[in-house]
Amino acid sequence: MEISAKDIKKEFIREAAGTNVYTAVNTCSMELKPGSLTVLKGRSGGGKTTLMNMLAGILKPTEGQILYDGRDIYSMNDDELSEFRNKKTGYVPQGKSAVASLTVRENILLPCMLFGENAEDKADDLIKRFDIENIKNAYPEELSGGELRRMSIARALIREPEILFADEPTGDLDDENTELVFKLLKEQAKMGKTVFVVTHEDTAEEYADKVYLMRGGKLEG
Amino acid sequence: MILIAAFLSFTVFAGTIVSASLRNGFASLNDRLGADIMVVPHEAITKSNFENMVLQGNVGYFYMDGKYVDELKEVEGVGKLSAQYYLASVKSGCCSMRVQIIGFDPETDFAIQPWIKKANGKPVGYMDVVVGNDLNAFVGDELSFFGEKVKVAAKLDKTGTSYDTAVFATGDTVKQLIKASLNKQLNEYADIDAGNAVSCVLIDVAEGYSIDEVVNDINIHNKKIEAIRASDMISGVSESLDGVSELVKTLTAVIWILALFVLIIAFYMMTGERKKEFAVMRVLGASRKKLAAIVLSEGMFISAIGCVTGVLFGALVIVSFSGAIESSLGLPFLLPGALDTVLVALISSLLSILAGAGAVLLSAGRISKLDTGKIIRSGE
Ligand SMILES: Nc1ncnc2c1ncn2[C@@H]1O[C@H](COP(=O)(O)OP(=O)(O)OP(=O)(O)O)[C@@H](O)[C@H]1O
Ligand SMILES: [Mg+2]
Repeated sequence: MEISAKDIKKEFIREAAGTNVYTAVNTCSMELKPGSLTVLKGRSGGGKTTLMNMLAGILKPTEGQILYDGRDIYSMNDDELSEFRNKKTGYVPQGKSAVASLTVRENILLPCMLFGENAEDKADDLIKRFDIENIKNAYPEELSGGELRRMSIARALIREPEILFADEPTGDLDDENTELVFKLLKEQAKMGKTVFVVTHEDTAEEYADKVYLMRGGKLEG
Repeated sequence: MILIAAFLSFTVFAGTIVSASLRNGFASLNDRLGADIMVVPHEAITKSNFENMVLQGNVGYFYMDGKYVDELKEVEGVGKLSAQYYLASVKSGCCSMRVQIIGFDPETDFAIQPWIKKANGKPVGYMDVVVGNDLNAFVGDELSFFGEKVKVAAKLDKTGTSYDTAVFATGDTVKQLIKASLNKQLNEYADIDAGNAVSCVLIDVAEGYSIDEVVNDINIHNKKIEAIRASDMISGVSESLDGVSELVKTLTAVIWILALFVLIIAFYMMTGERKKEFAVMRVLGASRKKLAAIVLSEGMFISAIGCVTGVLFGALVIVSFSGAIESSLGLPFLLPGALDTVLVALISSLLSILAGAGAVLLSAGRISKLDTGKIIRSGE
């Protein structure tokens, strides 16, 4: 699926400062092609996550449109868009994102559970691939950052989405695991998926088909 | 969380049962008096404190001449009339304390036999007794009063009044026992004629006459006996009952509202702490509606478990402490029947679940409005 951002812009009203409008992402356009891995780099606070959220259907831009194969996703209502996210996109959030009351395995199955569906086999497959079999019945609080990260990537893949968003997916991982994750993301792209990764890692560029840079809300690249 | 919900239903349940028990006990007491007017010897009022006997189950006895029964029959406005014969046992086998023995006239009695019929069905024979529910004697047991052997023919249901510790027999039986007590010199009234003494005359006023008229009529013409309105006797109880019942109700309401607040705050905090989790669910494809449904069903599950726990615990506490409650309040206390209890349990569960639902609804509404984009950004 091809995603194109048309002249999108995001402004926030900073609550503390009252009516002070802050532009997190300046007007910009970009295209994400199926079968390619796009990397977005940039300094902290540059607006990377904000841009990614707009692309992923989580944050409506102040101006502009996000088109998936030509369709404006923000024209859908909440129910439609939510189901669309569930079926078409995988999202690896920045930081910890586990549901504490669910085991690793249940967390991975969560996107299916939300729609009353089951995918036990797929879950077990992913658990094997990410080498977290020994902890699949553990609860998130017992896990390391790297283990949580792998769990959250597995969760993003359980629906076999056409599009994959990952916000600093290697933040807590060592070099070995970082490489493993990027190889995996690249593999997904090679399978024809649209992959978008926000990262600080320099090594990411080796895998990237396209690299963008975000600086102070301005997109370059 | 479960605990608070449990506390909520516990309060409502326990409060309702306590006030229902008090009302029940009062109704039972009212029934137990069973007459409009009670006529007793004048000294019963002062010396034996008749009122305490009826209301608190104090043991006592007193006698007047049997001729008054005939005189009272002639008083205008007297409808039904029946004599009773009282005696207090010395310590006997069945009972660690002295028990009140009450004799009734099987032919004319209208106050006691209806109760006994409920328990037995057969008329009570000579030297048979019917025992109150709290006494440690059972049907078929043989008891001995003043050396006279009597047989337990029936046991009454629990009444929550002084009936529960009394022994009933026909007038003939009690007269026999009085004779025996006189013979053994165990009766305070050494010079009475057991065959011709009565303790109390119960009167129902005939239709068309006012109770006051009849009471006054009797009291003006006979200085040695005293007619008492049954309702006067229990008005004191009725007042303190209203007071306690009111207090229990207010307390229940206050605690309920407090617990509701705590519940709302607790749910609010619980969902607030889990904002990130809910944002993650949104990202993974939960619509606002679905998220609200998740929060709701989770909260309802918690409050439902809490409610059931609370009601069960409440039932346990009330049943095991009903004696203590009764004696600490000093009021007749009779637990409602099983059906009523179940009803109260259902209603209090419903009330708490409703409260839980309200609290959960607030949180669910808030969570569904969550700013996903903002929360999912944060690292923690
Ligand atoms: N909901 C919001 N309300 C107000 N300001 C916001 C909001 N979301 C983001 N911002 C601001 O927008 C800017 C960009 O935030 P964003 O999270 O996109 O940065 P980032 O590049 O992802 O940073 P990092 O590398 O630390 O994750 C920040 O200055 C942030 O304070
Ligand atoms: Mg970010």
